[in-house]
Amino acid sequence: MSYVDYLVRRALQSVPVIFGLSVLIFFISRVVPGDPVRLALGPEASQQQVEALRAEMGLDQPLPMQYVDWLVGVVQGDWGMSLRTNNNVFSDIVARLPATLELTVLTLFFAVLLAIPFGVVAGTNKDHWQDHVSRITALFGVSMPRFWVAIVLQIIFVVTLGLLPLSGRLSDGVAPPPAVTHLYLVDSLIAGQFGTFVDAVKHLILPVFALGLATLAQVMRLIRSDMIDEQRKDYVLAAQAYGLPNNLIEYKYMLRNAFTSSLTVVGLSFGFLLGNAFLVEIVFAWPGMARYGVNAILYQDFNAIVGVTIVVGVGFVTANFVVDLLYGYLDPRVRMEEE
Amino acid sequence: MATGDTDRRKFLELMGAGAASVALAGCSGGGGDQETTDDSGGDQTEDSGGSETTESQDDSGGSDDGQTNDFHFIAGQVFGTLDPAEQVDYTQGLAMQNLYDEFVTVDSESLQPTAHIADSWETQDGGQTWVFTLRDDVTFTDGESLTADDVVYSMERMLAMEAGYASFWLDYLDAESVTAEDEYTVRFEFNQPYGPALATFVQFYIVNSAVVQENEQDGDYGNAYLQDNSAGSGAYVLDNWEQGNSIEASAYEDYWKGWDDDSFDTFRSTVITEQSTIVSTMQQGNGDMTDQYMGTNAYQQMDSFSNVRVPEVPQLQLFHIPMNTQKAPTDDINVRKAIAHAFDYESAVEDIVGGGAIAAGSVPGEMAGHNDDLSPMSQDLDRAQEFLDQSDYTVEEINEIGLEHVVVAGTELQRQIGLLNQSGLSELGIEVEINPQQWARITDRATSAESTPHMANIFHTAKMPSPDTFTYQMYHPSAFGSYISQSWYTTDELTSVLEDARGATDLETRLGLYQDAQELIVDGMPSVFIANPPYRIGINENVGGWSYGGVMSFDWDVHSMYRDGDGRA
Repeated sequence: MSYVDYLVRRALQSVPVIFGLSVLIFFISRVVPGDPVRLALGPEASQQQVEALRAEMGLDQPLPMQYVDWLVGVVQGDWGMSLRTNNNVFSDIVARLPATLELTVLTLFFAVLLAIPFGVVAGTNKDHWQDHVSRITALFGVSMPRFWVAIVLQIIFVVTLGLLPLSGRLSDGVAPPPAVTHLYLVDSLIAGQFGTFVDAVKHLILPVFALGLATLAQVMRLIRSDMIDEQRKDYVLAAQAYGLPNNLIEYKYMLRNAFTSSLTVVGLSFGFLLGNAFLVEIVFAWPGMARYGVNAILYQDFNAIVGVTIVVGVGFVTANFVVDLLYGYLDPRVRMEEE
Repeated sequence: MATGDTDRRKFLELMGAGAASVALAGCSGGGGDQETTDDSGGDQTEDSGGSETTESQDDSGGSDDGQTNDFHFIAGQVFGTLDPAEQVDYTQGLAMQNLYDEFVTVDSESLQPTAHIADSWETQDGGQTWVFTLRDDVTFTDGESLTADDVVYSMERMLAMEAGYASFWLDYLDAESVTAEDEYTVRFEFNQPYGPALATFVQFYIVNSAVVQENEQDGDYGNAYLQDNSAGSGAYVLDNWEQGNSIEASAYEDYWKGWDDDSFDTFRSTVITEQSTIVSTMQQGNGDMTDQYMGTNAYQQMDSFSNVRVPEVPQLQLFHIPMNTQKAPTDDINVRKAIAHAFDYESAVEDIVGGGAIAAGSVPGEMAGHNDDLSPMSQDLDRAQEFLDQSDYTVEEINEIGLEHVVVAGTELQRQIGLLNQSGLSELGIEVEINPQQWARITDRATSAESTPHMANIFHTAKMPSPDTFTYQMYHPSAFGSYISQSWYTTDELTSVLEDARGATDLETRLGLYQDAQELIVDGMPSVFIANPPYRIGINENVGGWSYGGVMSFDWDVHSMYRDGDGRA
């Protein structure tokens, strides 16, 4: 089986995963106790109103029929009506997903970018002060709740120091750039609006830090331990014997081997970030999909719950697929085994 | 291999270059080339997020200082709809108050219905027919006059859509029975005398029938159109709505009430759900007003800021613990009285609710029609024991059945009330299970007497200026099945009095009947009537003209407020 065949097979395996997820979340969201229709209509709503909306949404049909209708709708871009926004869930998610993607992708990017040098330094200086600092940072990063970190960051950098904006994606009076990708950083660069770009960057700093601290800590510790393992291997001794510079040995040879195992965690982290971004989105009033998702859960907005879960599920699957791709890229043995 | 190495190197170089450029850009400061839509200067906090483009703000009305005329409301929940026929909650009410005009309004002094679009009225046929004369100087934001035809169409779509507050009229009105007698006279012929009719019309907002009809799609009565556009005669015109994030509107220059120099010429609201972020926003002077649904500590914190004031006024709200009178053991009046006497009201009001008054019956003390002969309850464990001794259930039997007290999950105040009740009843040897549940589950359980818990914490706020809200809607059998009426309590006498009250068109007679009803309700002790909590919101010191509106969202009429100073404090 060629490497391409392997990737195609992996891609096809994703389809039943997403299908299974949709079945599971669809049925769970509808059998959870509670009456979201009545809740959406308000306390003054008559039984007649409640029944009318139930019929309109097809909730008077058997569950399997509801699922089939929903699936047909999904194919046609109709993900069902949100009880909170009265919109098609698909359009709700499309409007909010770019904000969350911008936040999570940047978070992952910077978490990995910082975790690599910190992990390498900690691993190559085992039990020295650099290692201790990294350990304490990692412990803090994984043990502190994201929302708490976010609030503390706001108090320090916004309320006390006044260095960064408190919430949102752009400041008052700053118009969003012309929409191309709906990612403000990208769109502002495309439009040449560097002021908007800088403003968007400022709004991203605290949310990215709050969201990424745990991922940074996790990846950093993994790289550290893998670097320690690599240090004991013969090829490192040989490279040192040849007189190669330490930086070259560490970053070119050891890191490449050490990073392979961290890659799985990085892939999974993207899915986790996508799902957990709400903790930060709520604190920073970030108009993203994750905040929409958590509100959907609180108000039992079942179509929205299903929609957000599917998107997060697709995010997980895609991230893992990309990890599979990168495995082969970073470790040629994977490709050779498959070929 | 060599190719692979080269590719990897390029890949890493590109990543590094990208990171460096982002970091450099981030460090390069604010820059002078931001694309701005107004000159609101230092107001740096809130976003315009989402994916749509913020429209330019118009410069109508108000002062010419870009910052001072912008009113910024911080809302704790999203705006679910902007259609007047669908609105039910407080953010929707906020939008209605500013984009549309209600048929009649609430007098902020007397908290009674008073003239607004409807200038005067009279009843005929013993209260079955109401004839309203409209103001003749009201125009919609497209410049067209608001006439009787618009009122008729607005009620027609209300009844046809069966959403929002339609239940106020569905059982009493047919679309055909609302007619225009002439350009400024409307006749409502109810199918029976309907005393609270006038009070219900505070939730009846008038739409521009020509505009809405022109934009109807597949018989939707313009519902889709009204999600992105306003078609009212309100003080503000919708500019932009990013659902779930923000709403922006600008002043309608020819608003029939006119404008002052210091009026706000733009109105916007941003959704921020995190309490600490709302507090920080107000502290930084980036918000003008908050809602009233945060925890007590948030208002105490805001009150300590020099630039924010937190008015505290009595409000038309009841906080109570309805007891299911159809389910053992709370079907026994003596058990209910024992529970009510074992509750520590003072601690609840002072330490948990953080102020307000202990409730005296179901109708809040500030509402016209409250029965002043009723006294607030106080904890009396001896009397509680007496009632328990008279009940059909022993303590052992009660504990065997198990008393369930449902509280809204994740809300500290609710949990503390549950614990307080548990503590009081433990003095009598009664065990209470506190059961935190999501709100959707609580409303669902309230639909039948069997599934309704023995006790639940409920806040009930006036949606119209009438004791009907706190009597008929809680204790008339036709209202059963809602969380508002989950004590499932009524008697033939009470039902009869409530129906008489609804049929009475004379105000004094009607209020007298509601007072009788309150006595009957307290006699049956269907609730632990805890408190009439205070109304608190955070207001920037430089906002003037605010007053409590009695009915949910009515105090957020931005037109009635003004900038009292140079920008936000």
